[in-house]
Amino acid sequence: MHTVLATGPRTSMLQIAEAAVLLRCDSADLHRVLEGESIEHVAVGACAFTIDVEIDRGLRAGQKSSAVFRARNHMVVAMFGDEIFTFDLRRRKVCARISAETAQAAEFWRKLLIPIALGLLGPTFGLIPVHAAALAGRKGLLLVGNSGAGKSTLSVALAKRGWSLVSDDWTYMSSTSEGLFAHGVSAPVKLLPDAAQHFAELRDLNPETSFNGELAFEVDARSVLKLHTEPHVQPEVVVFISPNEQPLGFQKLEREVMRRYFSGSLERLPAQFPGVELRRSTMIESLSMIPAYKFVYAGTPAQGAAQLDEYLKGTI
Amino acid sequence: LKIETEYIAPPDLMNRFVDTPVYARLVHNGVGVDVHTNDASFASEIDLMRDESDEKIDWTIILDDTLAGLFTQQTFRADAVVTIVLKTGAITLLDCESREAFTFAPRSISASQVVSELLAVVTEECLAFPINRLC
Repeated sequence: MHTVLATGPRTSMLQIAEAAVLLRCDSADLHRVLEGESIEHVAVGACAFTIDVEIDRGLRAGQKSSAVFRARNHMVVAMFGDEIFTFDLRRRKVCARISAETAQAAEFWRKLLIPIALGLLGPTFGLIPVHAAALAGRKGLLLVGNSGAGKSTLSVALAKRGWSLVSDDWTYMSSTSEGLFAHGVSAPVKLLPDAAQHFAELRDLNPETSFNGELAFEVDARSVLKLHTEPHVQPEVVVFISPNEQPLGFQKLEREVMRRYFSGSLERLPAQFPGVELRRSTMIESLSMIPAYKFVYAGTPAQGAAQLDEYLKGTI
Repeated sequence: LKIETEYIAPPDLMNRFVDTPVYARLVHNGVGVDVHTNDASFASEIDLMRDESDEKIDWTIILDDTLAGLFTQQTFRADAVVTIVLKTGAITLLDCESREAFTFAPRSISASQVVSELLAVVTEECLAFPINRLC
């Protein structure tokens, strides 16, 4: 028979992308790792999801790049070697049995576990992940584009021009009475090796194999790239970047085009969550109402950022 | 200007939507267990039993090529969900409240092997719930 997951009495309330998250784990190390996300007060009943963690001293830390994810209906399991995470979308709960080493691995939690948990559970409480970078500056900006289009590089180049970075890859959207908000998490910025040509801060660093097997720099926006960051922004314009095309320049995009883009970029959901699907559709509808432009540029990211900056200053 | 903004949806990396066309109803300790699987050999290997039970569990067993074996065997429960990992690499998530079980197993074992190893555990855990929630 089973043993019961032993989380112990130690708890923290975390704030992740505006969502209140209850962490229960006996390891002081894990609470320390997530200390930066802690909040002191949260409205009763406002907890978006819980993370229950048992530290098994007999387990060895699994290799994080060889994780196995499987899902069916409301349940998702992630195996990192013998370390197990389960994500229960119905009860909005993450449960884990991990090694003491993983409890101390700040990078693992910031780069992987927190974004994955938000991506899986967010839609169940109204936080919809979209494949976009978000920045705050002249306007609230969502930067979208297919994988490899250069969202992160252009985001960093814009942030070097004074914009504030909210997120560079996945952005979590919420809808309130004040409008749409795009939230980031404290995940590192991921840049491909050729970014070292454009950003001096990367030249003394070595790219490493990231979670998806890509060779990349994964660096902190503030401490390494010296960028200003914001936790959220209200998006007012969407820019779809598309490199290596002709002609260069800007083109207004129809609402339907953006609706298709956002719909296609979301993961399929199981049929058990019609409410979640409706919430996502409503969010896509709201996102497609935001003025959107296609931006094709040539040259360096700094040149692209300068063109985009000028365009947003003058035209919109 | 041609607008190429079509996005190719990500593949089903978590095998969430794998078809499970093979079906069998089993009975254990008076509990009917509906097994759905993508293992075509399953139905022919299972001795079907007449089910007169009101109790029912839904069990989905998915075999895939990318899972591997040699895990540490472990079973733990958090709230209503029991997680069972077998050495063979079969991972089972059992929701005792909704009476749904999901097993992900390497192709090197069969759905009938999974059933023979776990049928008793799955039914007993479900029958014991919610009593064992207090333990």
